Amino acid sequence: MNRTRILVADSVPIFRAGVRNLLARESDFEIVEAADLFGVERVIDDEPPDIALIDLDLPEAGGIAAVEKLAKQGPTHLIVWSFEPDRETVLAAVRAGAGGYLHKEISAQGLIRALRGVVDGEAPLSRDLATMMIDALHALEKQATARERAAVLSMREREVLDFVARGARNKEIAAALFISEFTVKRHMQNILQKLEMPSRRAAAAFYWAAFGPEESAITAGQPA
Amino acid sequence: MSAKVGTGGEPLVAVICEVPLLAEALAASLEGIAQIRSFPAELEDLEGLLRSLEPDAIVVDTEAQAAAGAPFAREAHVPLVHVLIRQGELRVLRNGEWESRDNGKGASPEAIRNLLVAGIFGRQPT
Repeated sequence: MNRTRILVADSVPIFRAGVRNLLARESDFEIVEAADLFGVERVIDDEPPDIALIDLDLPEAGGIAAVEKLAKQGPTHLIVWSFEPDRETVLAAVRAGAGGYLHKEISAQGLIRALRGVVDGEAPLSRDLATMMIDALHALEKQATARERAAVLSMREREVLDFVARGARNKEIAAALFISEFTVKRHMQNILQKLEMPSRRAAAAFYWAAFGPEESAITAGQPA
Repeated sequence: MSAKVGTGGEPLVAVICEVPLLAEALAASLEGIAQIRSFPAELEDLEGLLRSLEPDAIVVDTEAQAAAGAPFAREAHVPLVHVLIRQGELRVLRNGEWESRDNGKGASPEAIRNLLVAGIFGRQPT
């Protein structure tokens, strides 16, 4: 009988020992371990596992970076696991090449079922994580649409809107951009007109949905 | 203290955990030393359960169950180990007070085993 070779890649000894002990009782699994990416690569060089269970916080660069690297190297099914994942993390793992995502609070039987499911071609993803991922995809779609709409704004208008989204008053925006308050008002009128927005507040909410706090026009210096 | 003899003559360790793999890991490290009975962390009335079970040691991995298990552990003079898995730390209830145990190796199954063995068989770890 062909045994499924499982690599558990986790820096926390409790998880490696837990999976090892659990799978040792099952005749269809063979287990290998690694505590960091270097160890993972050594295992893969030796004999690639069928499934790699990779901790989100795997040293040195994290589980998603590890998945991104390993996905290019071979046919191993890559499953990320962690505590309390958020939707962006699950989506990032899948986009990096993971074939599934598991909670670290998974039951022993749940883990065995999930691993056998992978062998049968299933993607292990609990119901809540699947919902999270769908939400994340919808959010990305909304963001892409908003960014397309925002492309009609000039760089200066985007800068103004960025300040507005952060709650700045016209006077503050004028001082920060070295322009008059009158010019700020003109920019604001143009922004509302171009985006077909009814109010400054609506435009600010739209901007936040499109770019969020990480992609400020002020710091990025690039138009949408 | 002297270890209460369970079935098979081994001390009994109650493991109440949010992370079931913790119980799996401990089962391996305590093999031949103690018996494990594991329970999910969501269970209610942990104190009542402990009074019925009368374990020789308790391991928990949540703050709530550490607090719930403390009265029984104090009263019965049994070691209570709190494994903070996310932080890689261990705490042990000793003389009614929580003490951090940093052996430099984090919360490994062996470190937990050593704390339990010391608590059950009467010697404190160095």
